Amino acid sequence: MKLLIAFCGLIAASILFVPAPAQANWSLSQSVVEREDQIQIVNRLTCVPSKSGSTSVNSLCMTLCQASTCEWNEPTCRDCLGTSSEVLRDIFTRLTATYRTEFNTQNTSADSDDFATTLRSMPMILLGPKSPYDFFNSSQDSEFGRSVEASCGSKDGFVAVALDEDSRPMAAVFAICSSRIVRLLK
Amino acid sequence: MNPNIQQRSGPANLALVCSLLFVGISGFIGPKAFSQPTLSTQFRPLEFTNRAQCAIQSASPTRSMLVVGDSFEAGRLAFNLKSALTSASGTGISSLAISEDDAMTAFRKSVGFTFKIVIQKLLEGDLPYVSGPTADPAFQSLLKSCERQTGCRQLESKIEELWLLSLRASPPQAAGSAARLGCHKVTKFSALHGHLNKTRPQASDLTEIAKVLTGASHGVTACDSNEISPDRHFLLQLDLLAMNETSFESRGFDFWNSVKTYTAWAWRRSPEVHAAMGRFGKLFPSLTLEEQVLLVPNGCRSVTLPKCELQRLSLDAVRELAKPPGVVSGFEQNLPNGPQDDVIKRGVRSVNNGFLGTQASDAAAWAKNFVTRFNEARWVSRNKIQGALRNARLLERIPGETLLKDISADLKTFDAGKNHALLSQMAAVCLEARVLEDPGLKILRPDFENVIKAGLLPESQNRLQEIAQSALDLARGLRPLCESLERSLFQTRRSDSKTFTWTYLSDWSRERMGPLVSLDESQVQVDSKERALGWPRPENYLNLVSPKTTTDSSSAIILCRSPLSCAQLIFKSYVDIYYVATWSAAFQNARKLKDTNLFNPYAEMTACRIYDPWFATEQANADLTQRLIVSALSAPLPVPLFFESTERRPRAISLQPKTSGPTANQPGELQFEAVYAGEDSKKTFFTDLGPLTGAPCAVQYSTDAGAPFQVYGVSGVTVNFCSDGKQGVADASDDGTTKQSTAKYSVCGGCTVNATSAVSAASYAAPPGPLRFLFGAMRAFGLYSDATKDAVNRPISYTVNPAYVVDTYRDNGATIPSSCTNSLTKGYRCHSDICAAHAAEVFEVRSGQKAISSGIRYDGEERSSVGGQQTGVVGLRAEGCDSEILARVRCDAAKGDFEVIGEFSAFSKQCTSVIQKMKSRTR
Repeated sequence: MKLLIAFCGLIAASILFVPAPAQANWSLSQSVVEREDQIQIVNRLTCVPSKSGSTSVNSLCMTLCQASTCEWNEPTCRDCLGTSSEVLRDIFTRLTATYRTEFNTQNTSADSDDFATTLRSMPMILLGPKSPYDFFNSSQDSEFGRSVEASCGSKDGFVAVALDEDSRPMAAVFAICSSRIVRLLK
Repeated sequence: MNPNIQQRSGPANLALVCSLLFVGISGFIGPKAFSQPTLSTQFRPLEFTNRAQCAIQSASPTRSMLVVGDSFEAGRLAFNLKSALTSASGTGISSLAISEDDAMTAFRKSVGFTFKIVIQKLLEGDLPYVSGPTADPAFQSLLKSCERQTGCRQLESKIEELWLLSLRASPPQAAGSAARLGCHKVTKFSALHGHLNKTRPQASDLTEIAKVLTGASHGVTACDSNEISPDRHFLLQLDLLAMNETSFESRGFDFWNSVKTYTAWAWRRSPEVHAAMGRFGKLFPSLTLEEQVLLVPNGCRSVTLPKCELQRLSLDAVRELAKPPGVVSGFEQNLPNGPQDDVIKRGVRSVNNGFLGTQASDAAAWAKNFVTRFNEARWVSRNKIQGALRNARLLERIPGETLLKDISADLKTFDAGKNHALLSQMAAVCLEARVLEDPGLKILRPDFENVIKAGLLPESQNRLQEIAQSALDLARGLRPLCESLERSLFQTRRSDSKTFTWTYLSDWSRERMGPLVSLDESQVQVDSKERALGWPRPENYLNLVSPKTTTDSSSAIILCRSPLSCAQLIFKSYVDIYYVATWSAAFQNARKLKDTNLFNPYAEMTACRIYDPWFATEQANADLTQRLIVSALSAPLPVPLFFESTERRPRAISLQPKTSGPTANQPGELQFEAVYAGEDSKKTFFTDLGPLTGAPCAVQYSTDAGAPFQVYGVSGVTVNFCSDGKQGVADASDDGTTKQSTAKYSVCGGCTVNATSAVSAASYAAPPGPLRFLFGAMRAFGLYSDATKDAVNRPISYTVNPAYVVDTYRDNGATIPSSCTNSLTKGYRCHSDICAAHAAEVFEVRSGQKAISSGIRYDGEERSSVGGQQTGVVGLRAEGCDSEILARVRCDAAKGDFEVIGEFSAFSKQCTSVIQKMKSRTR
């Protein structure tokens, strides 16, 4: 019975709350699930075969998942739930003032490769609109949402924050938009 | 009822230590063999203390601690998770059941569990102390090196290693089962917290304690109670019930330091703690525990040894925020003088009189007020950092030199000599710059430099130091210009035709220059928004333009209307950084769990030597000695005369940074030392002219205008005569109202002797010699007796063991007999004689058997009428023993000095067996 409930919980909660637009051949999502009586934040990357034959975005899945889809738990982020982290405060309240974007529209694969490589080499958390980590904004029409929109062109996107060896947030490093990945620089 | 009056000198000092230790011993009630684990045995004895005793106890580690917690972020986490799910449920799939109340309850339980498991392990000896003489030196140096770092993997690995070893020594379930710790959630303040509201327990308080513990509503629930509560704020009480009291007195601060270190680690890394967090086990570790809880000693003792140091004073100043809303504190000031100044200004105050509102019953409401005010002050502090960083970023494109040039240029371009507004703002900038950069302006400026250097600034520390430095450089750069203006334009200021006013002073400087500004404001009215913008320069100097609309000037926001406004913005950042540094220990991101001496304002006053709890005691002793000597010396003289020199209590007028000495400042520390008012001692000369003139005349000269005219002033001594049929007992009472009778069948009578007239008349007739000395000695003792009646500045304490109160209440048909009050308020069970009660307590502690009754036969025919040390034989009856157990005792009830001499003995086989077991327990 317990397993059944957990399974139902998983199904119930595993839902993309920031679905990527239809034109993208990959999508990144974050969900809240309960598995083995533990509430967890789970990220999922799903790739669809590219009609154009381009492999650039699929390489994201290949690098990260070695498959067309994969999911991973958000890593433990020390002092990230709450208002104590200065880094998260900057991101949620003054993203555009603190970071500038480095658009590389000509060669997005370079950025997605960069993202995949970085994610494999170091722990990162993903912050989206209505993020569980957002203790700074009280509504979706927040400074953070507007900042993501300024970086991505729409509010549907994530900001990837790199963690240091003690699992503390260091800085926002990527804006993961629905169709491209943008590096963020301080 | 005689209080435990503490004496300092000689053996009396030992008495104090013994008494303090005894307080602990009497709390060794948890593991007694006869004790059932009832609610009443889950609390430490309550210690009621007056001001002096409270001050003394601040240097002693607490045995009972309160955890003031805020579950807001746990609740907000649940809200965030629900929000995320809500957005998902838009697609038609149901969401997880998560409620804010569940999360807050789970958080409160998790906090309780974490403290419990760590404290249990430390009490069991499964975890080593992280500091102190027994701690591993390598570990201590690692801890020290990690103190100022945000992360320290080596330390975490080391703690993990120790934790794993502790698990092997004692698995979690075993650790949780031992009754070494009482952990409760306090829902209502009650008689169990009477020590926070009173300095002396009354009989009615004992009854209240019994009623609370035996009634249906205790006002406390277990820490791990599953009761779902919508209360965001909570109060946990942790009582240490069983440990080696002797070593705890010396190692208690290391104990609490260890609790803080291990708890912070366990919250994030311990699998046992994560399991206790239930379904939030993967999320709660990411909540910053240090931000959610504050440790508060439950009484006058401390969690950390008080020091006269900025960070410690800053933490203790948080006390002001526990007062009702509206009570002004240093936290509201833009430019605070700092806690070292506030502690002097607040001066002498009362303790343990419910001054923090603990008389109100609702503990959650109390915690709510405190936490709310604390959080508000914390937000103010953090916003100031953000503001300083933001301003610095916005002003990056204008270097200091450019700003200086632009200010000079403006003065010429806009003709400052004829421009009242411009000149007024220039005057304001010059004044503010001077306050910031000129250490000579001691009255106007706080100690900016030392405080900023010593402040625990956040992660952006280096950047903040840079901002502070650039503000200082700008202020210094302005000096030549300001000095030239002082010789020219500023000099023309006349009260009748002002060329400038102080209208444009910033809020922080207006706070300082209050009267100066109010004078101007009565004449010049400027709208507050306009004032904030500065003088109306025709063209804005620096605009903040939205990055998206750089070409659209309509979206521009004025950052600085003039270069002068930019300068004031930079100065404001400096003042804000100073503010943050001042209160950094209280409000900045904690690397360690914080504790504050909330209920003991004398902790910092004693540490800073503003208050000496022993002064009154030592003064009384010194005066007695001096008067006796003077009496002896003046006895042969033809007229009675005396001379005495009495020290006044030192009056601290300020706390100044300590610059030298063996305990001088460590890096990042700012220690203070008291500066006292140079006051002479009080000198009094007196002579009775009676023997010479034949008239009852006396002359007194004193350097103290308020000195009483002491004509052999041994007035109003009440003498009680008591008899128990066997022993004649005569006790001089302290206040003339309380009858002290230790004899079971005593019959007492009292009369008051007006010693003033008696002694004065006698002195008239007294010839020089021994009789004169006798009268002098009587006067000396009379005044000493008066001095001992100081109920505030001489240390006095009472101890009430809730378990004993409940037993007495139950044994006597739901009442507390008045004859029990004396022994119950000394921390003993109800026994008629205090020495017998003490012996019974020692027996219980050593044997684990309950002493049912205890009586005493004193040596000699009569007890001393003025107390003093006595010896006798105690006979007690105990559970599990069919005859009397005897012990010789020595005691001095007045000093609270008790001792069982030698061993307990008995004649029956059963009782001998109990004694044998007792010996093997104590070996």
